[in-house]
Amino acid sequence: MLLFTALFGGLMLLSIESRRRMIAVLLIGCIAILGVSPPPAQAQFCLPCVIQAVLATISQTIGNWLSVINGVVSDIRKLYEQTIWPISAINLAKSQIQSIIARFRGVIQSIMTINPHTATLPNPAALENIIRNRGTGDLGTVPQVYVNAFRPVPQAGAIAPQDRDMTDMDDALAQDNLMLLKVADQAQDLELQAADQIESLVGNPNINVSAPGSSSLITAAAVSAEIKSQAIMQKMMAAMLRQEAGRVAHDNAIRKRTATFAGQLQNNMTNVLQHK
Amino acid sequence: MRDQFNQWRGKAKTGSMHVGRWIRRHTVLAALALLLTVLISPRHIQGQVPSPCCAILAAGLGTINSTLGSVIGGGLQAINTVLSDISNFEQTVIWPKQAIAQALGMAGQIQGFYAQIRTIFQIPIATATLQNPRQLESILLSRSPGQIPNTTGGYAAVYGVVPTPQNAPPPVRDIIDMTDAVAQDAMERAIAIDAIADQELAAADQINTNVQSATPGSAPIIEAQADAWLVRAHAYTQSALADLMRVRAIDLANNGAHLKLGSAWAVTTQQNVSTTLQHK
Repeated sequence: MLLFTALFGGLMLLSIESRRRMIAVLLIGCIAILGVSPPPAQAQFCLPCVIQAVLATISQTIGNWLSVINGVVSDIRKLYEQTIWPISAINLAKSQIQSIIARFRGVIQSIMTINPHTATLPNPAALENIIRNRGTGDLGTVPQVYVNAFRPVPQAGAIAPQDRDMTDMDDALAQDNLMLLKVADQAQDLELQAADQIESLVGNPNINVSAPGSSSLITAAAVSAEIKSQAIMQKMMAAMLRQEAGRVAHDNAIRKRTATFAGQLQNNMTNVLQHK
Repeated sequence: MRDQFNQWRGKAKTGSMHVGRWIRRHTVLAALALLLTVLISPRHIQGQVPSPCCAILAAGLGTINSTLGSVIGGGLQAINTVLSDISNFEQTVIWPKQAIAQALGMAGQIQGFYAQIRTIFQIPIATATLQNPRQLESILLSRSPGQIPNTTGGYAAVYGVVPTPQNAPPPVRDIIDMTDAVAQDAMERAIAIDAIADQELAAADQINTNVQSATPGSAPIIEAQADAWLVRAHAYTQSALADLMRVRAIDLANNGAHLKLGSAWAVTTQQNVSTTLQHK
């Protein structure tokens, strides 16, 4: 490059007397120098240094992060297996459930099989039997058996009309509740079966039958069953309300009549005394 | 020898002078020839033989490759092992599919039990035989809040109305009216509680159906709603119990009132008898 520059410089010196020639040589020289001038040189960099830096990034930064992640994931596994859901604790809980089942279920069931029957005469015994048999198949026979024990409403003319109505209403409220209680008894038996099945399922030792993750579903279903049990309880409370209201109303009706009779008696006495 | 050298030098000097003179005359032509020489002269290029730079690069890439394999590959493999363990644990111990299916099946069985209960509660149980009691009984067992306004008429038809002022003194009328009120209130509340219980049974059925399409993760949400319904149901049960207690309280109050009125009448009668005897 220097050589060519010197040569063109010499040629320019030789053509110093002609300005045009010198300019021509100058232009040609410029073109030549541009042609042979080297491309811009790359900046100086240290390849081993770069590689070393990449290696350091991989082994230190990424490697350390992977170690940290592995540590966290391992901690999670440890937490799951040793603290939250240790298989030993799961099995212990199930064995505790089985133990409670074994200890209480049979005892309670045997207690509930005690069904007192203390009536001695045929009609009361028949009624007692039907109202305590916990079945609904014979629900339609309750009114007749009730009438056999408590006698029918007197015929018209044999009793005051209001008394006849009240007697019929009293009988109706009593019979309705006796029938409802038969329904409630059967409902209770079904509820007990449901409770037994829920308990047996959650206490099953097979992990493929009962697992910590499936218990939330069973719990949700059990709570919905609780709502229904409360609804049945409310129906029984409503029946008791009707019965108590009927009883109070009956007493009150007698009070009304007594008051009316007393008023009439007072008037009659006053009239009798005035006539004297 | 020296002469020959001087001769060559002279010839060279002469030739140079000729060339110099030619160049001086044809400067532009010489410049163009020089340009052509510059352009066709070979450039400096990299040879086929590997340079030391490539060797360093290759060694560096090899080291990077092995480091990636050992550090990142090894680390990822370790994480994968732990994650696989967790996945296996979750699938076989915490949330086994078979156990989930069993739980969903249990929800279905519970619904079956309560479907039976619902059916037996719908068996009609009306037993009154006379017209007025039958009308009142049908209102009381209707489980329809729309029937509540009819209770007063049905009640009065069976149990009568409050005596007129001519027929009963004010204290007795008060007691009778209050007792009628609490009895009718209880009957009306019994209709409402029956209707509420039906609604709760229907809602619980719906919740149970929702449980059957739930997952272990979504079940607690449904359970939370069911818990809210349970709290609500307890409140209604307490409401029914409260009405029952009101009836019992009025009944007790009536017993006390009988004693109070009885003693008052006894005193009045005693005074009247004394007055009569004195007049005689």
